[in-house]
Amino acid sequence: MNDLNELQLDALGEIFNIGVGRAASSLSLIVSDEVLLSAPRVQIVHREQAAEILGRSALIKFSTVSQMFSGPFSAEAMLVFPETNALEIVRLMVGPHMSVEELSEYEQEAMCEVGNIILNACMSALADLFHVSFDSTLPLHRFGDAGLLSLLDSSDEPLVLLLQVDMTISQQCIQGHILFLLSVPSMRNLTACLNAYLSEQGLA
Amino acid sequence: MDTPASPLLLIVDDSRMSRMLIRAIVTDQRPSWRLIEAASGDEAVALVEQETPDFVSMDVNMPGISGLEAAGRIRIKHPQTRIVMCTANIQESTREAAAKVGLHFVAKPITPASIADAIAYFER
Repeated sequence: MNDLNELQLDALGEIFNIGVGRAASSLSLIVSDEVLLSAPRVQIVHREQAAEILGRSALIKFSTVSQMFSGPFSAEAMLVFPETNALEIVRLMVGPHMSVEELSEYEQEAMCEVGNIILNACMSALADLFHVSFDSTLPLHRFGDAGLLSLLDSSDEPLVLLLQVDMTISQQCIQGHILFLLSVPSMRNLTACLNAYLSEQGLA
Repeated sequence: MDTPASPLLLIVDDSRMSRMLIRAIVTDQRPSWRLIEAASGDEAVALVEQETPDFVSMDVNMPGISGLEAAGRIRIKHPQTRIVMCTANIQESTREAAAKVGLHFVAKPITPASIADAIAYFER
């Protein structure tokens, strides 16, 4: 099923690039700082491989925010940050006037907001360019281990669309990952949307 | 009497789809323009040394040097070349950085309207 051709993968990367660009614009307003982005890397892998790829990165403990999106295809979208960066993001969001204890209290809520912005920006880019719409659940914040990534292990979805973007906020190298967990029928529908988009652009 | 050569546009983007889209729309709107492509900032800087383009459409977030850095390097050697930053990075800081060094900013997605905006700047 991992059979998107080079142009389809490139198109998917570019569409996510637009989404992440929108997200960075919103995030930079929230943290009152510039957000530097790398070019997104898109891979479609089995979920065991996704856990392995994330496990190989420098992340040991994760802070994750996930949301279910449903529409022409359904996906569980997940934003993954190193746990240590999550508190720093919250500190940037609320300013220097809070103690660490107070910050911890707001962490879950703030990370949900960050996840909501970033994941919705990515999905809105897909929705706008594919001329479709998605419904979404409320964001859910969790902590996880690199070795387990329990969310991936417990998921029934066999495929993961792995989008890796490096985000640098305020000189802190914060490496964020965005994951989309898709079932085989959803992947088929995503491919159909992608083909329709390429054909509309006169590229397929 | 020599006829002036058609304008040369350099399209710089790491996405093949984006390069294809820009090429298709520009060809539609300005069929006589000559087009060359680069998939990175480094490749763009090297290409410009072979033939100086009249216009450049430059992405920002690319592997290797950023589009802003590549545009800066091109501007230093070829101040007459008009450069448009064609990017999904729509942050105010990116717009400001582009404006500071005299680059025009066009937000992705690439559409006939956004390319018309870039062409209007090139031909200003």
